[in-house]
Amino acid sequence: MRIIGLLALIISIAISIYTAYSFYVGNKVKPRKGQKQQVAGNWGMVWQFIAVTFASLVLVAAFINNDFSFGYVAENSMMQLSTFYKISAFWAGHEGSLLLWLWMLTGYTAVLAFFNLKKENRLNSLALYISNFIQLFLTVTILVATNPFKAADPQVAMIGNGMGLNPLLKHWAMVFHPPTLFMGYAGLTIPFAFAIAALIDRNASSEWVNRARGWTLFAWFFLTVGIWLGALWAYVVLGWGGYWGWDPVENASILPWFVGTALLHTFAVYRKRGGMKIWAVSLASLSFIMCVMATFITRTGLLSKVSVHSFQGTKVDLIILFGGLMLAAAGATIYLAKTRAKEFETQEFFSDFLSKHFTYYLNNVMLVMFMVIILFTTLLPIFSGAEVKADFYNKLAQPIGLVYLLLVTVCPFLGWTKTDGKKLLRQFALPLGFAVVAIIPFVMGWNSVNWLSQPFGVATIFVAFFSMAAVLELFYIKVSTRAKNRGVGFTSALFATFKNSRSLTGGYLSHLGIAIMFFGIAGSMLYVQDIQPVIKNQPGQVIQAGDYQLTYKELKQGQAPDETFYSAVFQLRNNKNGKSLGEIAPEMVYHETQQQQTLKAAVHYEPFRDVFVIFNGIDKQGNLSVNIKINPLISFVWIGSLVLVFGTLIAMWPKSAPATAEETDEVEAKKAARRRKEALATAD
Amino acid sequence: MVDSKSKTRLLVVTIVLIAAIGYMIFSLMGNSSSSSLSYYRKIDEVTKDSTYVGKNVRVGGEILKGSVNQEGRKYTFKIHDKDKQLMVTYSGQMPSTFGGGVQAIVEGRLVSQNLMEAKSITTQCPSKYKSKKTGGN
Repeated sequence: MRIIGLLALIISIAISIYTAYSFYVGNKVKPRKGQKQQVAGNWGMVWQFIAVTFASLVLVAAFINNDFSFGYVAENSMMQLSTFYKISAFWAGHEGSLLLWLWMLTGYTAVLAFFNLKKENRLNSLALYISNFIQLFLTVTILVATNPFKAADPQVAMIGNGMGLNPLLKHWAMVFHPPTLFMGYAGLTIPFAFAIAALIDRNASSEWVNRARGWTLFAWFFLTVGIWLGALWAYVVLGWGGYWGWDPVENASILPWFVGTALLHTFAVYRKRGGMKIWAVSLASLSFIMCVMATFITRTGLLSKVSVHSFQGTKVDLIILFGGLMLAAAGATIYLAKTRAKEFETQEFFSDFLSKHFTYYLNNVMLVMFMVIILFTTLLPIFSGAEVKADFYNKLAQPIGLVYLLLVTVCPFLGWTKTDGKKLLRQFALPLGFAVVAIIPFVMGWNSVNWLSQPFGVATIFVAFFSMAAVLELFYIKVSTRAKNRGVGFTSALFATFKNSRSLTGGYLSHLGIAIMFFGIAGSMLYVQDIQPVIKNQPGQVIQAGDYQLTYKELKQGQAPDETFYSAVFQLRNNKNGKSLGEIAPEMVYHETQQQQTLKAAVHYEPFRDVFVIFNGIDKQGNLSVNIKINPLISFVWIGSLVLVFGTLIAMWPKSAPATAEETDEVEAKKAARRRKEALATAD
Repeated sequence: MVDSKSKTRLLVVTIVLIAAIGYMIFSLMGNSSSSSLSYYRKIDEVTKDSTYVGKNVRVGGEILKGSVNQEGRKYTFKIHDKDKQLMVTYSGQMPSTFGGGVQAIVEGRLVSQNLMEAKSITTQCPSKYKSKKTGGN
C-alpha cells in the first residue's frame, strides 16, 4: 500500500511539471493561440488534486486499518485508539501535516482552475502558474524530506502495535486545530500567487485584489478559527488556567494572522482609493512567507535544539528547503516590486492625520512591527541561547494593544482624506459617556481588586467599552442614513445594510468582536484569584475560594483502554447566595503506553467568571493537592472571537446579485480599455 | 501622487513609533535583575561549574523514571541528560504532562551544584506532535 501512496505523489509531480509547461506556453503567446494549453494546464491542476487526494486516502486507510508497516502510522497511532483519533493522527507529525497542507493547497487551486475553465482569465492563469510551482515544491519536499509513506522500523513493525497518540492531543479542539490552521496557511498562497501574477503582468488595476480578496478572507477566517481552537485547547487541557502563553508554537500561528489582517485592510485601500499598491503586493507575499515560517518554526524542530533537547528531531533538510522557499518568495517579490514600482505607484496618498489613509497606514505599520518583534523574539534562542519569557510579551502587548484598540475604534469614523474634527468629537460623546458609566464597577473594587494597582487593565477595559459603544453607533449612523435616504423603516434598512454592504457590516462586526475580546483579555489577565490548597483524603473537607466554596466528596477511579483515571469530586457552592452549583470533578489520567500523567481541569462556566479546578494528584501520605483559579471575564475572550469570526463570515459571503464587484470591475476595465483604444485611434 | 511634505510627516510618525517601541523592548530586556530573558544551560554545564550556584538558570533534561516524589504540594525529582543528573524541588502548579521519561525544562535558582529550587517547569510541548519513544532508553 505504501508504494501506491508514493506512486500517487510521483504522478502528481509529473502532472505538475506538465502543468507548468502548459501554462508557460499558454500564458506566453496571444490568448487565442494558447487556448488549448490553458485548458490542459487547468485540468493539470484538477488532476493534481485528485492524485494528492488519492495519496492522502491511502494514508487515512492505513491509519484506520492499523497498518503498522507504515512508519508514520506506527509512530503516531495504535490499535486501541478510536477511529476518530486514528484519523486525527494523520496530522500528528510533520509528515502528515505537510501532506495535509499540500492536499488543501491543491484543493484551493483546483477550485480556481475550475473557475478558470468556465471563464478563462489571464490573471487566474498566471496565478495558477505560480501556485503550481509551490505545489511542485511541496510535493518534492514531502517525498525527499518528510515522506509519510516510508517503511516502519523492522523492530517496531514486529511489535504489531503503534506507539500511540500523544495523550495531550486527545481532545476535540486539538483534532480540529491543525487542519483549520492549515486551511488558513494553504489559502494564503492564493493572494500571494495573484500578487506575483499582477506584478509579472504589470497589471496594477484592482482586478487582482478583487479576485484575491475572497480567498484571503476565507483563509483568514480559518486562521482565526484555528488560533481560537488552539487557545481553547490550551485553556482546557494544558491546565495552567490561561489560554495564551506566548509559546513559540502559538507565536508561529499568530505571525501570518497579523500580516493577513494588515493585508485585508490594505486591499480595501487598494480597491476603493487605488492606494497602498506596493504595500498590498508586499503584504500578500509576506503573509505567504509567514505561513511557511509558521511551519518552519513548528515542524522542523528548529527550536527543539536550543530549548528542550539537543538535536532531537531537528530536520536539517526541511530547514534548508523551507528557508530556501521563503528566501525565493521574498527575493522574487522584491525584484518584481522594484522593477514595477512605476506601475504600482499609489493613486492617492495621505495628507491629513485625521484620515483613513493615515490610520490604515498606522494599522499596517503596527501589525507588521508587532509581527517582526514576535518573530525576532521567537527565533532569538537560535542566535543567542536566551529565551524571552511570556512576561515580556505581556508587558509589551499591553500598551501596544491599547493604542491599537483605539486605532481600530477611531478609523471607521474618519473620512478617506480628511475629517471634520468637531463632528468627530460630537460622535464620540455618546460612546465616551457610556464608557465612563460602564467603568464604574471596575473602579469601585469589583472582584475586590484595587484599580489603582492595575491602571493598564482598567484603561483597556475603558477603551474596550468605548469601542463597543462606538461600533454600535456606527451601525446606527449607517442604518439611519440609509433609512432616511430611501424613506424606509429602520428595521428594513438594517436588513438591507447587512445584505448589501457586507464588507462594511462584516468589518464593523469584526471590530466589535475585537473590542469584546480586549475586554475579556484585560479582565482575565488582571483579576485572577489563585488558590493552591492541600487537603486530606477525607470527605467533607472544605476549601474557600473567593465567593465559592468547594466541599470534597470522594476520589473516583476508572479504567479506559490504555488509561487509568482518578477524579477528585467536589461539591461547588456559591457563598454569596448559598446556591449549590453541582459537582465539579477535575481528573488526573495515567497513560499506560507513555507512562505519563496528564491533568484534566474541570471548569464551571459563568457569564462573568470561570471556576477552574485542577487536581494535581495524591502523595504518599494521602493528601490531595488542588489548584483553584477564579478567572473573571474569560468568557468574553471566546464570545469576542466568535463575533469576530461571524463578522468575517458576513464579509466573505458571496453576493447573491448577479453583478458581483468582480464582474462590475471587469466591465469597467473593459470600458476603460475601449476608451483608451479610441483615444489612441483618434490621436493617430 | 506622493508629495514630499506628506512623506516627511509619515516618516517622522513612523520613526517615533518605532523608537518608542524599541525603547520599551530594550528597557524590558536590558534590566538584568528582572530580565525577561533567560539563558538555557545543559545539566553538565551547571553541575560542573560552581559559578552558577545561587543564580537563576534554565536547565533541560529528561525526568528520571522512578525519581518523582510528592509530598503535599512539594515535588522532588531528578532530571538527567545521559549520565549527568540534577535534583529538582518544586512546589508550584505542575504542568499538564508529567512523569518519568518526559522532557522537561526547569527554571529556578541553583541551591548547590546538584540541587535546583525550581520556579517553573515546562514539559516538552505537544506540538512537536511526536509520541515520546519511551521504549528505547
